[in-house]
Amino acid sequence: MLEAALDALFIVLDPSRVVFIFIGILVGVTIGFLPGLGGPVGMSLLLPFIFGMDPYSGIALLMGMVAVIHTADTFPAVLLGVPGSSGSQATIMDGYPLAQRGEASRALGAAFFSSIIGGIIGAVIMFFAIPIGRPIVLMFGSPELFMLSVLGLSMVGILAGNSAIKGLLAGATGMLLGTVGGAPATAEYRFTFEWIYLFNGIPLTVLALGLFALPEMIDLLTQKRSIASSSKLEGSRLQGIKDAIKHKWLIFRSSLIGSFVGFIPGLGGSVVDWISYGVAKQTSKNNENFGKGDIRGVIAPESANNAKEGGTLIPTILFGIPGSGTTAILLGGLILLGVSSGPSMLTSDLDVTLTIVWTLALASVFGAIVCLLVAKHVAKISLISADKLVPFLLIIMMVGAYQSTRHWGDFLIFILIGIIGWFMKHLDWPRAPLLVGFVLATSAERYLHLSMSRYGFEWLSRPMVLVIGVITILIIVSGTHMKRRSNRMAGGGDHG
Amino acid sequence: MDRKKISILFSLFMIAVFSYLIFEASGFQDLARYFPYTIAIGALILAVIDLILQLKDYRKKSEDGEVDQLPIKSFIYIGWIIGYMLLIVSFGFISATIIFLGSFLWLETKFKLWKILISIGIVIGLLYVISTFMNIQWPTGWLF
Amino acid sequence: MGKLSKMLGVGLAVLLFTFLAACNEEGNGGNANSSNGDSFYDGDDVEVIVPFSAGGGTDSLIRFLSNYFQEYTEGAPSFQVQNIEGGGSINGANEYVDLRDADGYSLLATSASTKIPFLIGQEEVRYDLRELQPVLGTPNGVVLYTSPDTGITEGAEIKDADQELTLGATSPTGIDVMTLLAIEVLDIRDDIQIIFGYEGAGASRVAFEQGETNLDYQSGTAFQSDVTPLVEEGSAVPLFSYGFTDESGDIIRDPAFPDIPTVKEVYEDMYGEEPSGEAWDAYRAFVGVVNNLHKSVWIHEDAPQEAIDALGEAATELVQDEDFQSEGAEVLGNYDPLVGEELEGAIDSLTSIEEETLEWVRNYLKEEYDVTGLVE
Repeated sequence: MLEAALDALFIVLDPSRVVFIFIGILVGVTIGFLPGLGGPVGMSLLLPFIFGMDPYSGIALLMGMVAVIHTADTFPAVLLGVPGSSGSQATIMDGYPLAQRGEASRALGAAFFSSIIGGIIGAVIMFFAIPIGRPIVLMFGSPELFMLSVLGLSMVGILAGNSAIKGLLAGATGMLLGTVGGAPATAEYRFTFEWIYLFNGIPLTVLALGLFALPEMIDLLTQKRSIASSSKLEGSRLQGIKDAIKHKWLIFRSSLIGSFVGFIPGLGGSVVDWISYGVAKQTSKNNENFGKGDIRGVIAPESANNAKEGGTLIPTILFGIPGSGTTAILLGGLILLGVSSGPSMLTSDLDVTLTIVWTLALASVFGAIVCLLVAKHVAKISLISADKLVPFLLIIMMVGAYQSTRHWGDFLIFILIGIIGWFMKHLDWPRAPLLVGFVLATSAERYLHLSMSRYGFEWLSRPMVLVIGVITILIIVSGTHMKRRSNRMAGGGDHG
Repeated sequence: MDRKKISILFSLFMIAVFSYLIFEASGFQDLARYFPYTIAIGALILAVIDLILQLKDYRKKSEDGEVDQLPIKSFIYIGWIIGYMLLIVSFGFISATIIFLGSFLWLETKFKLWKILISIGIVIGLLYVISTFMNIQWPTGWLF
Repeated sequence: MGKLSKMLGVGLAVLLFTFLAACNEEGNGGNANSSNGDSFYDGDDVEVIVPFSAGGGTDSLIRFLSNYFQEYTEGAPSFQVQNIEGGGSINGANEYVDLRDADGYSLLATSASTKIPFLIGQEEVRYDLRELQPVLGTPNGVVLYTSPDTGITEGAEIKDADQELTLGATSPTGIDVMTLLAIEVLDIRDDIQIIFGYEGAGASRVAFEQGETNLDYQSGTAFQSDVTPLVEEGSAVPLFSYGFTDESGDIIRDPAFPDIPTVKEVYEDMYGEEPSGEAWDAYRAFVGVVNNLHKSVWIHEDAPQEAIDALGEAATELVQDEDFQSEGAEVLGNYDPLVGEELEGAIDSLTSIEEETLEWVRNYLKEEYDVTGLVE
């Protein structure tokens, strides 16, 4: 297989294909940069060009785009507190507070450096996982997937911060919003008010934009200030890179989590960054600054979400089931290139698979470098005063929100969620648990139903179910334990 | 506006939402019901507990005389955003954007006229470019 | 400082777009057909509504086809794909019949999931496929298979399985309806536990491979790429295909799987007579619309005849194109697109679907599978 990998590398390094990778990267960076736009927009932009291309060049173009969207959407996440697409949601937790302190460059530097390493680790893991990918994916039946959703939901508690009840309430609200639309287990549309827009549920992009972006814009305008409270940027990209190197084990760990969770079909890549964020918070010493601008809160999700891209490709190419929205699009592209996913990707089409791995690795390195190079200038957005910045942002976000389903409902839900989000922000309701609950509601319900109807209560005794259950408990307990310890160390353990 | 009062009102609003969802869910088929039903009931209980805690807290500290305020000015900007949406729905995206951007930059940012015109020009130009090359769409109105 | 970054951003964007624009010109410039002025389309734009997101299966197929349509349609109109998503593709199709004029300048693309809601009479559907005219259809079959652990080696043994049969399905309002009808025709509903709730055909196939279920079905193209290897290694046994309908509405074997018997043959094996009755009529109607015209392009029935003819001729010619045949092999599976006379046959069977048949399906789904939201 090593020999085949080397052959594939030479295919990828063909100058014309390198050019395609770079075109893909440019498109991906532009799209990731604009809040609300994601893979489908990039795909519709590139599709006309890939007809008639040879598969390797087509893959170079597509993977170049796919690999960097989740890198570039770190810009809006850090600078504006807006989750760009489904990839960088958790980055806003600490990236945005850093930008508010004027340390946007540092946050971006750390994020992109973590992305590079995460992307490489993800590709390496994918390379070694290809031969054993099928049995690994087959280990996760409905009961295991349900337990993983529970593991994800336990992040609600971790993200709730100090107001446990409000955090749980926010998580429950998110889950209820997630049940809008067709029920997974039976043919019934729930909470749709007979409005066809809601039949497919509330689009994630619209929810995330509304929940985080609108409240922020309103407050910036109210306070008539720029995003950074200082008038000068502090901290440089180099400092961010140094931070990342200092936390190399965190990068490594988060990348492992990223590619592993990405592996598992049906759970979706959208929770990866939350899980790695939660785990980082729970297992780090002195974690009381998480959520207030701890650089580790940027490093963990960013390394995970780039490593994930390698992971999600395993179910995509070996089983033809997409692990994330972007890979769904990649599948369509592969078919157009004359490559069909499935077991043949391990045998007759192995060179195509390996080309994908190489392109992914190269594109995430190049893409992050491109982002790193422009970061210094882009970071200055955080110094523009609100009344000059927000009206333009609002226009971009309206466009972005509308691309979700291209129905006027996108605007309405965007603004409705935005107003509710504004109240939540000011009344100390943590908003991140709502997003996590929303993302996981469907899979939790679906896989609970499937497990119960297939196995009754028997599924509870399956070994993998027990293992994941124990991990979940450990994460929750370790959090409380650490909190207590750090409280004691800080001498302020008045609440126990 | 008193932050604590608003907080209680918001909690009441959420309680109303949860109650409505429970009512609505009770009419679903079994398989569609159990999940939202369980969560909504749990949420309702939590919300009521939260409300009780808030009411206790409200009485306790209102003696200080210090009232925590929510910035009322924010509602003006919420109004701007809602207005922009209504403009989009009635006139189409491009016309609405011109009206919104022009009036916002004039009334809020206090830009000079030539700056406003240039800003609108750049925005419309960029929108035109991305719509042409990126398969991005927006609602059209009777003008554009 | 602010200005600088803004200018930089704008500059970058403009650069990128100019570049892409240049590529675009190059991409489309080569195939401008000679337009002599009397053709219906004269370099105009034709909108194709795709009720799915960009990059999905239907979207990819339509974008693939549109290049060839532009090349072969007289007047070389440019085909612009417009993605209108939502409501499981009902949104886009509704918008097509409600808001687009029958002027020949807009087309609708559908897949099976656009057709089923119409066939089962979902309340939200405002389109009647019988009032649309297909321009081109791409067929795709369905094959049902089982695990060797069940001890079943052929369709007729399905009632004598060693284990309880479990079928993973998505929803009784989607593409699964055809399977539900097949099960009803064969009268094997009591022998199979159907678990609804899998995310899609891919997820139910993985559940089959995991042993969570032991009965599954896949579309013809998915069966070729993902199940055939399983059959070869002995971990899957094909039982029957759902077949296609011929001109007279009879079920015939799937051209991609000439060795796999159809539901009809299995029924004859099991009961010694030809299937008949309401379920059978409904089944054949579904096969005719869903399999024969799996993904298809439609135009308003009352569009100008010149437009319908121009597009029809283009469809007939483009399937002869050598590039189309070689590039399209993967997109289309082992099925030839339906154009010309074959398409006429499909239209006949579509328009001859009787109202009573559709009503029977609605009542059946309401009573047997508790489906709500169907018209009365």
